[in-house]
Amino acid sequence: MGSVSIANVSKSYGSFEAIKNIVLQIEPGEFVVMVGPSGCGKSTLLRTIAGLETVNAGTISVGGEDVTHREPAERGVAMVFQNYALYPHMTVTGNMGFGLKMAKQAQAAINGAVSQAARILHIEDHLHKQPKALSGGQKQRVAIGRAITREPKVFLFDEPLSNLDAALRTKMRVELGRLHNQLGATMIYVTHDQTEAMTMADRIVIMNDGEVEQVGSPLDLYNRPVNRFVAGFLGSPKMNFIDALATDVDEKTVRVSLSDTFSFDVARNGTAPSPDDSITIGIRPEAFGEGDVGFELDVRIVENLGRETLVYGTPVGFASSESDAEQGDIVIHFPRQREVRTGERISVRFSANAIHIFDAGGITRHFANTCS
Amino acid sequence: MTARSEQTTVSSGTLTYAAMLAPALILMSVFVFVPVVLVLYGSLFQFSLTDRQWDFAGFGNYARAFSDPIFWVALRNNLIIVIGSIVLQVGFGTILAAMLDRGITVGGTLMRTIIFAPMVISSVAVGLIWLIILDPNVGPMNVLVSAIGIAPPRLGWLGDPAFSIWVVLGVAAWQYTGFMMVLILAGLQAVPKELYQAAALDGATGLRAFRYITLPAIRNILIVAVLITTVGGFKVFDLIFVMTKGGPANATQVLGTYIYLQAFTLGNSGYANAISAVLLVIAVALGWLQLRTSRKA
Amino acid sequence: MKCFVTVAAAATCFVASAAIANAEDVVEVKYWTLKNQGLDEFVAQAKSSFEEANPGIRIIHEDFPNEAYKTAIQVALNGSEPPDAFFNWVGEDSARFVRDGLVLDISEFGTEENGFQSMLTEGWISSLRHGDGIYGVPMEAVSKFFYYNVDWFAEHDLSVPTSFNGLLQLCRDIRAIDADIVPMPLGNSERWKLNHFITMLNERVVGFEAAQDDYDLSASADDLFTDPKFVTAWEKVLELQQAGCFQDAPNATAPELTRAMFSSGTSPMIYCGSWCAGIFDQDGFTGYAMFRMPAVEGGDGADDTNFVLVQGYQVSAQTEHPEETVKWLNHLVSPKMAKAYAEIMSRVPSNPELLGESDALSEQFKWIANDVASVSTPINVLDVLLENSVSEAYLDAGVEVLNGTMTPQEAMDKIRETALQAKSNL
Repeated sequence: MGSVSIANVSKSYGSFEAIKNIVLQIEPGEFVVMVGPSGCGKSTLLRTIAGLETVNAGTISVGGEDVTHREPAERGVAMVFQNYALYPHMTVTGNMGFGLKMAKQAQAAINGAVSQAARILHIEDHLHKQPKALSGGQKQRVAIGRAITREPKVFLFDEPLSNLDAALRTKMRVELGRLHNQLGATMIYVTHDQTEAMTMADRIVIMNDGEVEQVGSPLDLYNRPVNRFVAGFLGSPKMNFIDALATDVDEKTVRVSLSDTFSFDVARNGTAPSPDDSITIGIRPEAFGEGDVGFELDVRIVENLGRETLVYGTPVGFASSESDAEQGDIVIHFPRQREVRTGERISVRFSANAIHIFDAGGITRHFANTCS
Repeated sequence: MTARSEQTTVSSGTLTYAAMLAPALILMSVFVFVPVVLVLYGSLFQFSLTDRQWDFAGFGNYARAFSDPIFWVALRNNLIIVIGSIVLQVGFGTILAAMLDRGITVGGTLMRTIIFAPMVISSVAVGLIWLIILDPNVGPMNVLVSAIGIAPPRLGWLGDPAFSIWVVLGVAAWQYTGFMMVLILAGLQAVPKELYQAAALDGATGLRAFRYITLPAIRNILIVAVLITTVGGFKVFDLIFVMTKGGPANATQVLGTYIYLQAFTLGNSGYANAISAVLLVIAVALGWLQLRTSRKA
Repeated sequence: MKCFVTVAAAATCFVASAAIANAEDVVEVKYWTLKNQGLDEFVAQAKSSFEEANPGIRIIHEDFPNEAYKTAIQVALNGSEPPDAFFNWVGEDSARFVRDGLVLDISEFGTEENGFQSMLTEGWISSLRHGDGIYGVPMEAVSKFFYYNVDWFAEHDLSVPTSFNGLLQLCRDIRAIDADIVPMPLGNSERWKLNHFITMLNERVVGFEAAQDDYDLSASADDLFTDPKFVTAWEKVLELQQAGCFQDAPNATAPELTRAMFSSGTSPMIYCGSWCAGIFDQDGFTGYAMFRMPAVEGGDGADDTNFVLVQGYQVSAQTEHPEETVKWLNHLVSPKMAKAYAEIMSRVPSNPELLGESDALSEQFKWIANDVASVSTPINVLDVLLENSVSEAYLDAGVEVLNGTMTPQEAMDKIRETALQAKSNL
């Protein structure tokens, strides 16, 4: 169990800056998920911690020791790769014991560590097999087992579940959570899947374009995103964004105009925009339902998921600028079954307190009041 | 009714198989089986190319081979070339491939092309080029070696029986190392980079990564490379024929050139057949080994 | 194998005879040669004049590189479609075909006025006479001389040696002028160069008569190659080497290179065949003259002998047109064609009648032609004369003696051993 300190770390390939001046403190025993779109630098950051990439500037400390210039094996970290990276010519035992063998541990100690890890991961029956004889899930368990035997201060996971099918992925997610509790180890986990981030993390690090956008607990990030990128990245279906104008601003309220004919007042809680500023409002799909603001919606698509219903439709009187629906449309999530038909016009309401307001630069100026 | 139609299908199927196999079988017979049988048959006789009379000699030609010192020199030279080529061609090929795979990032393709290039030149041309390079009077090799302060062999690179087989071995290595390199490089590049990264985290870098990750991964390719080199080493002919004709005084004689010498220069066709038969046994043994290893892999 | 050949031969004979019947009395004579510079031009010239005079005969010429030829001709003579007339080296190569019954006795042909038997001297014809038969037509002879650079010799006040010791002294004198000059480079990478030396040293030391029984393996097993003078001949090679005549690595040096060393003036001497004159001329060097291998002090050889290797044409025993074939060979050795041969090929033809009239021939060439004509006994080169395995032993011994890996005595022991083996196989 160890802390990780990343201080002003930068890495570039030629003129391309993969990560830019990252500062991040990870506490012992934490499960931190780094998430972001492809190419955001999350994997690069993980690999600099592992020592697979050198840094151009900054320092990396693991367990209080500066490991910036140490070999990967001397950093006290272990890594699990997306494609498992099992040694194909070694048995499961050989794979799991390889690190200890390289560290010149006694055979008895290696055997002990391997069987213990195998017990934790329920793969005792497969120890004599070659990787090619294993299923994807089993391979990933062996890869995790390989990390466990080395008793690292920090576990690094590089999209470990991406090669598994959906059902297995859900199961492994739970299992990794259990493993984290059981080992109490510090884990850093990279994924592009926000569901994994939300479900597994103690803290989420959202990255974009080589920089950290926001760090915080999953709900903190979900409820109080610092900017439009974070707001849009977490949640599925994603937040509906609608371009608007702040037409009237006073000490208590902001008047939000979606169009000439459609405006409403919001009790403000952040840094107010100036009057006549272009703003964007964000409404999560599940925020529709009861409320003081109403509009009509022409239903385009209905997805009945059993315990919930997703409705995609074209609002009357305004249009979205970004959503998981088609151009200009919005997505509404009803947490129950609902009889709606395609082509039908329905009334939709939402609470003025349930919207986020972002300024033209994407910075959050008002957070939705989730307790309303 | 059903049984009848089934029978028809079977016999027409057999006929089709036979028809499709026939061309290959006929070609194999004419170019492989019949010559092999003729060689074995001819090895029991004493005759020359121009003889109409074949004298039965039993296993006399074989007895003669085993008591012929030059036969043993030739066999020893084949073994030198086989083992030396494995060390040089496969060994250096592996080292070069590893360097190109991981070390050299700039100009890798150019390097690869240059190293591979000798492979596409015919052995005859390679031999002639090296004859010029190694010429003791005007060749650049003597100049080069003298320049770094080493006295070149007084009798010439190819004139000194103590040197010549090793020089030929070196030229063969020059020609084929590039091929081995490309073969092995293909194997190296098929090894996922993550394996090396996982190994680095496990504490295996550099030579240890080579020992534990690279070598096992290219094991099958190395086996193929060794077999190709071994077969090539036993059937070597053209390079030696061009460079030394087996000389000086049989110092570079190999089975291939010795068979040629006996059959076409000395007119001992029966004896040449017997040596060919010995080479055939070696070739069959190697073929069997290759089949066995490739099945296992 | 035998059956296969016979069946194929029968089949082809059938096809061939059918073809001739269709060709309305035109007889085709298949004629094989080595691939030599200038030969195409000569053959084309000979062919057109011959076919004009003999409209019923057509000459089909095919040529082969040196290395392929020896094999090709052996196989072809046993095969179904042998050439009617073919080039061969006169000596063991031609004699073996006679022994094996592969070539035709043509003594009943060519006796007319312009037949080869009337045009060529007995000395030439005898080279292909075995018993009562004549087994070929000699076309040309090659000989061997020391070539020397006339201007360079004059400049350094050197003269042509009259004895073997004089030759050794000449080498030492040249090294004294400049130690880096190789007096007479030896390109023995193909082994026959030194074989030509030992051929003539054997003749000078042992003597042709004395060596004859050893050469043809007719000496008794106890005597075969036991004459100590054979060892002395090898010692003469070492004396040449010790006098600094050769460069360091003769066994790794190609003959072409040594000729270039002479024609470029790098070396003042070279022991080279009569064919070398044409090569030097072509390289643009004409300031040379020649002398024969000088007499060896205390040797038993005759002094007026020299290396003469006759080359000519033999006729396949299977030919269906011996008369037409010999007619073609008569034409090749006719005075006019022999002169053309000398002019185009720079080779010494067997018929010298018109050579004196030629303006195209150099003084040196005429000297060579005269010299060849004046040789009392032609000395055949060992690698052509000796039985194959003995020849091979002599070739290898030359390499080993030069390399110092065998002493002259060891070389002769080895040769004797091989000769005994060969004799027992006869």
